Amino acid sequence: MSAPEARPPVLEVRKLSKAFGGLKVSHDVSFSVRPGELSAIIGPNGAGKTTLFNLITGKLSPDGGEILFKGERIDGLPTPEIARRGIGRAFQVTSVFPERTAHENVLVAVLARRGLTDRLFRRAGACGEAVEEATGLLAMLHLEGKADAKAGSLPHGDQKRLDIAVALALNPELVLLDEPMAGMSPEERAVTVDLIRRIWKERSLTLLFIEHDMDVVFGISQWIRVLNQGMLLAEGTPEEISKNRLVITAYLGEEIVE
Amino acid sequence: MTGGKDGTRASGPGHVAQWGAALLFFALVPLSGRSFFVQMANEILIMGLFAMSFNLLYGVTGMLSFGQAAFYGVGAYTVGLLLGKGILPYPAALLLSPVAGALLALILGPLCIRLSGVYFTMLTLAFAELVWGIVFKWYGFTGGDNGIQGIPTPASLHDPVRYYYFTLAIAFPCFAALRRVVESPFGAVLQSIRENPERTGFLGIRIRRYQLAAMVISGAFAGLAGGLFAGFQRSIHPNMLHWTKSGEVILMSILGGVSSFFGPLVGAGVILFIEDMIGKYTEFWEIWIGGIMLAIVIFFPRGVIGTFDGWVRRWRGHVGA
Repeated sequence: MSAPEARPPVLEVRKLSKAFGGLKVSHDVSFSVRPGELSAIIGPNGAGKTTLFNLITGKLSPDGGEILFKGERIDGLPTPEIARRGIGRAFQVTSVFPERTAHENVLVAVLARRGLTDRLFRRAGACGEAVEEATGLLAMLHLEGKADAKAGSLPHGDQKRLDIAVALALNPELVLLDEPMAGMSPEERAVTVDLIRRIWKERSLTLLFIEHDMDVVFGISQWIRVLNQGMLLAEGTPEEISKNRLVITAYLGEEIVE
Repeated sequence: MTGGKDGTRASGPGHVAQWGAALLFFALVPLSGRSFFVQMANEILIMGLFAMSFNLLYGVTGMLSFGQAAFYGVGAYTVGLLLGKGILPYPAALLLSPVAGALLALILGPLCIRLSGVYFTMLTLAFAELVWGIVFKWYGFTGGDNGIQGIPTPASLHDPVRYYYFTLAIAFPCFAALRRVVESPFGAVLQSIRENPERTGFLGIRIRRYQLAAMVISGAFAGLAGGLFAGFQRSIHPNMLHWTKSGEVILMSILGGVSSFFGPLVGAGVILFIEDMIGKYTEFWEIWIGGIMLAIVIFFPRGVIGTFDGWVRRWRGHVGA
């Protein structure tokens, strides 16, 4: 991680706070994400991981603190505006358009990014470049054979990858994946891990993912941030995190330390 | 049906055949030589267009409007008033009826889409009732509950068969235009909003703009349907704006199938036909409509077309396997 350090951070979170009633789900969280970073966010259930994604993408607005994307404040902006600036997101509970085909799911995202959705009198299926791009994205996520299937009828793992394809269709610079491997079989996990790593590399993305599978987390992350009770407990390289006393007591447990 | 459940599949040979068959059917109705059939087919085309305008909001975008009659009625009154006061000839007045419907949607839309789900529905109902109330009470301008009789359309259009073909020549291009809108990139966004509004926002799409645009387009077609009806009956009444009229197109769409493009037209046909047939024998035809609706909800849960489509697919599946 030498070269990226010189460039300004893609995402900067400063003293971010959010409370639901008396419960502080995000408490003075500060960190910077370097361009091109592939990093994980871990922590026990209720640590505020998904809340953090919701704050970054504008689904929630923070009570305090700042969020900067490429040096500009984005906290408080509406979700569509943040998406347009280049933050794509896939969801913990898969979020697709169930009655539309897999291809239509991706195509509408491609059309949105290309600014073609104000077209009324041209068939969406006749927008050649966009159609091809959607086809390419499906192939990239190993869904080429499922293009005409209704998204809602696809197996869980396929829906998860479709969700990622939709997020990538926006050509985002920063991608947030919320438990991309949740509910997948071990084989699917292995494939998906490779896939994510390959896409991250090919598209030179900055990628942040939430994950509970520690083999995955420690296997592919360059950097790990640990949240606990709404606070950033620690961050560092996988080696540093695996030796961090605080993290071990709060989350990892003893057995991970050799 | 190659239309698929969403009615959005790309055009294919089956698609062309379906449109050709529908057009041929309607074009041949006058050959029956019975003016009763011609009148009924004319009303089916007009109400079908009205119901399809409703379905652009409901079946396509997922917005249940209970105030669609306001746009329909305003279109009708545009024709009635402009002609009745001798300001414009019929063709020009008819051209303005969709403009009036669109303008009303542009005014009411932003007020209604502030809320979603059943609250949106209630707002559309409330504002439509407001418009109805104005038309009903404003004797000096709209004629109040007397409505407007004897709308002076050109004599050349008084012949039922000629007016029927006039309606047909307007309705079918409108169906095609609506179809194209549903299939367009814009329509893809509307369907995404129906399926998952939150996710649509994460695509960088400002949902309310699209919902408003859908209301304006829908209002325009509803207004045009109203304008066509004003020329058809040559008399209009505030009832055209009443909530029961809004309920009628909801019924037609659900009965025909909201997820198929021609569903609302088929539903309009079924309801108008039953109304007329049963109305001849009993004044309690509403009970029959209620009973038939009940049977349809039980036996055709996805509407007539939707369920039929499902049968065809299952049958094809069996043949294929």
